[in-house]
Amino acid sequence: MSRKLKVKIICLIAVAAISMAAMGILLSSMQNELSLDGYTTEMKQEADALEGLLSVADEGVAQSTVTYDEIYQSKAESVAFMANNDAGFEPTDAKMVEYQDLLGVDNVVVVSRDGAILAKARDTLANFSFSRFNQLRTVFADGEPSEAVEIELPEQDWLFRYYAARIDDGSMVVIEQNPDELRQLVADTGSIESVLKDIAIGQHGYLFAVSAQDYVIAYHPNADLVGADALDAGIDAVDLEDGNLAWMKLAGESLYCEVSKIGDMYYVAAVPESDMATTRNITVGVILFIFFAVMCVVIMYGIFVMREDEREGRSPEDYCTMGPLRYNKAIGRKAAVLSLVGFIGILGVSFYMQTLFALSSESVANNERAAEAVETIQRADERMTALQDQYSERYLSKARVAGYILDHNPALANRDDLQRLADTLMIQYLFTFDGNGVMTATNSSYANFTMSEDPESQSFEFRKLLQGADSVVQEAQPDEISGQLRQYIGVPLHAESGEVDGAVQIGIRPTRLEKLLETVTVDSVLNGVKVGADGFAFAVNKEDDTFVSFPDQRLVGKNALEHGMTENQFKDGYCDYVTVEGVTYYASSAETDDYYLYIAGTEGELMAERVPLTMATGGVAFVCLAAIFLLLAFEPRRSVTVAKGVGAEERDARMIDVKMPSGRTAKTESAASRWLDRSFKWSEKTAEQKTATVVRWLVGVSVIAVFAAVVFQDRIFGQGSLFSYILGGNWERGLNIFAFTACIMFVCVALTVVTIVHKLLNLLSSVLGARGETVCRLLGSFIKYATIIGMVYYCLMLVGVDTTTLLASAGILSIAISFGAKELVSDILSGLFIIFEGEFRVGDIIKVGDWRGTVVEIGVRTTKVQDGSQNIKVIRNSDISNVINMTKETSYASCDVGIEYGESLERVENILSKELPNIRKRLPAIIDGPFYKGVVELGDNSVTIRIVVQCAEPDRLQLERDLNREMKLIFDKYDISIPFPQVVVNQPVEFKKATAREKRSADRFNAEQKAAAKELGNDEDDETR
Amino acid sequence: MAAKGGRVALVAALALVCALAGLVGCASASDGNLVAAGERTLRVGVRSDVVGFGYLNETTGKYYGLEIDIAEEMASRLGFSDVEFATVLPETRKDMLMNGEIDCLVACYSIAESRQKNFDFSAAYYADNSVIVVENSSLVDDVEDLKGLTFGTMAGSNTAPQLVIKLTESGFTSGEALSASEDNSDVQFDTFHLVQMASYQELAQALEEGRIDAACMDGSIAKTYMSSDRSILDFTIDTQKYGVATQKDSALSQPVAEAVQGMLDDGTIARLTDKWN
Repeated sequence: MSRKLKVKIICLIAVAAISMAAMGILLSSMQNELSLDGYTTEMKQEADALEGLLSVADEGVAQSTVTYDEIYQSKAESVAFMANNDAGFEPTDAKMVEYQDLLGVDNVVVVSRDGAILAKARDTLANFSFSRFNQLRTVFADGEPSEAVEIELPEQDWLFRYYAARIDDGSMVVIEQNPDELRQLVADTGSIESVLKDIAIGQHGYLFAVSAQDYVIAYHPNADLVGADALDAGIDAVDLEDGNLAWMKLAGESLYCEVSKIGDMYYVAAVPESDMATTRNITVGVILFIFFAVMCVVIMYGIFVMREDEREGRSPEDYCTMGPLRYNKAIGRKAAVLSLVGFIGILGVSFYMQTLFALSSESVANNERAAEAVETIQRADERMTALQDQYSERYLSKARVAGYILDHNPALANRDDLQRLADTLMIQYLFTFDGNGVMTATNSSYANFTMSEDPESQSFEFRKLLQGADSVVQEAQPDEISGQLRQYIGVPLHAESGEVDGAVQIGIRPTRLEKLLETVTVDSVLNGVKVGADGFAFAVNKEDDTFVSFPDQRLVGKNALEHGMTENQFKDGYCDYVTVEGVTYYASSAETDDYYLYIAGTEGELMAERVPLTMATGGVAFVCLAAIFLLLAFEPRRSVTVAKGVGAEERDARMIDVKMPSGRTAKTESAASRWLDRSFKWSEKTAEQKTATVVRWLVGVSVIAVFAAVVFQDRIFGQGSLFSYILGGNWERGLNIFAFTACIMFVCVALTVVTIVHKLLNLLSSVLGARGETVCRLLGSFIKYATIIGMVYYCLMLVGVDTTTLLASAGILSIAISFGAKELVSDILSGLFIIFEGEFRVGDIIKVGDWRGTVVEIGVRTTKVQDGSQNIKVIRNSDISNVINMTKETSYASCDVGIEYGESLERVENILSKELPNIRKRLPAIIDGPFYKGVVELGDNSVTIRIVVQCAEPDRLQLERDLNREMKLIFDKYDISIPFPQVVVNQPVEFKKATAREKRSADRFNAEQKAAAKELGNDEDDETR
Repeated sequence: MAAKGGRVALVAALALVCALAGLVGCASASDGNLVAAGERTLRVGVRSDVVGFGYLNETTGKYYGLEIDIAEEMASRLGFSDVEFATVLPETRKDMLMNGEIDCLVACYSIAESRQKNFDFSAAYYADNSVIVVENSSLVDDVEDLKGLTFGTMAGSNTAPQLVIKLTESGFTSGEALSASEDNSDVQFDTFHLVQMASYQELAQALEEGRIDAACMDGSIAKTYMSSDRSILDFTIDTQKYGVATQKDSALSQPVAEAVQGMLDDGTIARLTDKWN
């Protein structure tokens, strides 16, 4: 290798290295920046929305607390009502126990103004004389029930809320109640967790909360971290500033965070770096690899050609001078083509990777979100039932109190007292009925009402009370007139003797329940689902295909099919594009008992990153490839390649030149060598072959890389990664990027496995005998076809072709084939086999039947062969059988000549030995020879001798003709006669007839002979005769 | 002229003395107890129950807070290789420092004259008001409402004497104790009752329970025990200045004072305070 070449190679490698580095840095920083940008916008939106969400939650907590307190205040109030309305009240412990049961509270205590306990249902830890309970004493001032006083001392197992109502100026009734239920409600609806747990950022991003007071983590999706010290877990206190965007470390995980401080809490929106890194690394890695491969191929090719040139010299017409530089046309053209194809490849791969990962991350995120939404809805359903039960129970308790009071003082059943009682119980209406179901009193405006006898009617149910039912609780249902939610509950009334003699019914308008129920409807649950910058959730009713929830309220209740959705999108786990009202979203679905939920995002957001990244990649690739191209194709003028002697090194004869249909001469491997499992020596290869080898290595590396990634996906990428998403096959079957990718992955795996098996078989065959080798080759070929068929079948399945119907229709297909398409199909199949088996290639000289020519084109149905007279024969592939591939290093032309038997063979041989060298001189197409091959045949009329010459296959026919001519001339010159058929003409002869005696003697002779040789020679055509 | 020369000489002499004093300061920092400072551990008494100042996270076993950061920074400025924290309680901190169980106190320890007799104090790194916390449900929203009620303070802190002084000053009480228990943990004044409790935790519990009607404590500590059901009265018992306490005239006193002063001067303390706010 010359110094010049070495310098050039070093330059090329340097350029390649710099390009790789530049590309790597550019890509990863761009990708990072783009995804950070995306996340930042998303985080900002979440942070903006958070304050509202938190205040809504706080409001909810406040309202829940008020509602809760009201219930117990009303209970206290109802005890006071009983005391003041002659309903059997007496300040004894036994009575208090009765009230405790009736009201369903933890304790009922009657307390004097100074805090002394006058009566109690059970012991209490509270000392009501402390000023701590001054709040309760406000009842003496205004007569209204007091606000709650809560004492929480976990050390003493003391958690109670206290409610008081005034009995008289000297005493009050205090209800002691454990507020667990309230706490639970607050935790479910108003806690930080309840707000933050539904917020997701990107794929695995989340919000966590850190106390601004002591840096304790107040909420984190990972429950283990809740209560841990944030600083200890790795967060820097400096970063915790409102509005700060920073990289933080939490429990060993690197997070991209945005902090917002609301109240005494830092809310940190966090996206794990690994979330970005996996996507980024794979995308950048694949693009870089392709870029590397393209550069590698172009550079290697250039180097190989230049080395070859150095060895063999290159004709001057390959160069053209341009100013101080010389342009190497041969390298230039090929390098340009390779670069162009590579460049387009890089663009394609880059765009493909961006699309793939954008879509798959979106899919994974959407699927997770959908699953969560389903869970939330299920929880909401449970919660709805629980809420209804809870409220029914509460109202039943009120009804019981009303019943208890009216039982003890039936005189209260008048409009005014009932109104007071209703106020005390904080309910809207009270109705009392007599034993016949006729209304006796009410505080409402309905008068003259009788419980219906019609089973269909709403009030019919309450008749049960008169027949002894303990209570009737109707579910809250919308009022027929106003549509407001209203609930009726009834309990029986008793006469003094204890018999049922009527009923009391309460009518409530459960506004709080109504509100709570609203918060757990599908609509509100889905409204709370936040997905990306402009993602949202919607639901379709399973039964009638109508939208149950959609951000655009106008669509709610409309039929989804009429607004762009299709039937196949109504299923669990759908994950593809969905069009609604002309807008296309990328959506994932999940199924609940009643609905199909969709998590959707617009594509714009999804794909926005693709174009700039692809452009940037393309730009860098273009510059780098241009630089490499210039380096390869141009060289300083003064440096002249020294042409060394041709053939200084003998080329392996396995490579030969063929003339391609385009008129270009290209190198090809001789037919015989193609099926040898023996590789070329590196030095024997042409530049093209070396490049092809490099390409093969690169492809091999990538195939094996994909194989490894597929096989070890869990270990490399972890669960729930994009990779496992693609492999998991939860995407829609059809012509989409996932199917395409899965096809590539599958093919890579199959190829790797098949190659390994092939290598093993080769190894095996090398140690086995001839029979073993045959079997191995057969097996290898079988595996190859099985794999190809399997791959085609599987890939068809992946892109959504229904392969079972394909198989089933094969029967019908075969009938169709047998009718007419048979020929066509067999042509196509034969064509495929020709290509797969590599029977011949374009440029090869083949002989099919007695037709000999150069292959111009191998088509799907026909093969075109050009014969010596430039005629094109179009042969149907199915007719191509018994092919002789004559593409070989050298062919030979032979010439058989007959000599007369009378001629002296030795004399002829002497003449030939003298003349053969002269033939060679006259016929330049002869590569070697002519050789005298001896006597071929002692024929009927002549002794045939054979002369052969070595020549190139294309020259063979002409050479044979030339050889014949030469032989004739030589024989003429030396008066050697070549025998030819001669006709001898004879005069006709008169034949004599046999006499009668002779005839008789002949018959006799025949008979004698037959008898004598009866046992002999009876076989027809006896060979032994 | 001579007078002028004499003055110059005097100035020079003063400067020299100052320089020497500085040198001495340096020397004292690098000899005596501190010679081996590089390998030694500074034992610091800190609080374990005051969120934002000195708080022990039970799960991690580590201390967090402003005072912890100050102690660590101080130790590194003094050249100590390591800091060992020990939890001190208001009633034990005095003895622990006296006995040399700890080298210094960074434990919400306010600089008071009575304490300066026993200990050396650095400059104040934090100023805090001691306040009165009441339960909302007691309907007390003024000190006057607390007449006849019970105040609680922390035993060992100087809040109790200050409270009595302040209440006397404001005319709330005559300041005379009518009766007192042996250890002064339960004193009956003319218009109020004062009890002292062993820990802030206990104080907070007593307040929750209603055994005391008002809890008096430092503002920084009160923060830990505040909830939406409690409020701080608009009444400042006293302003406390927290300083780092060391044994009287110990070798550590001056370096500690200098280190704290240095941290005040270069804004370290301000930054740390901001961090924990």
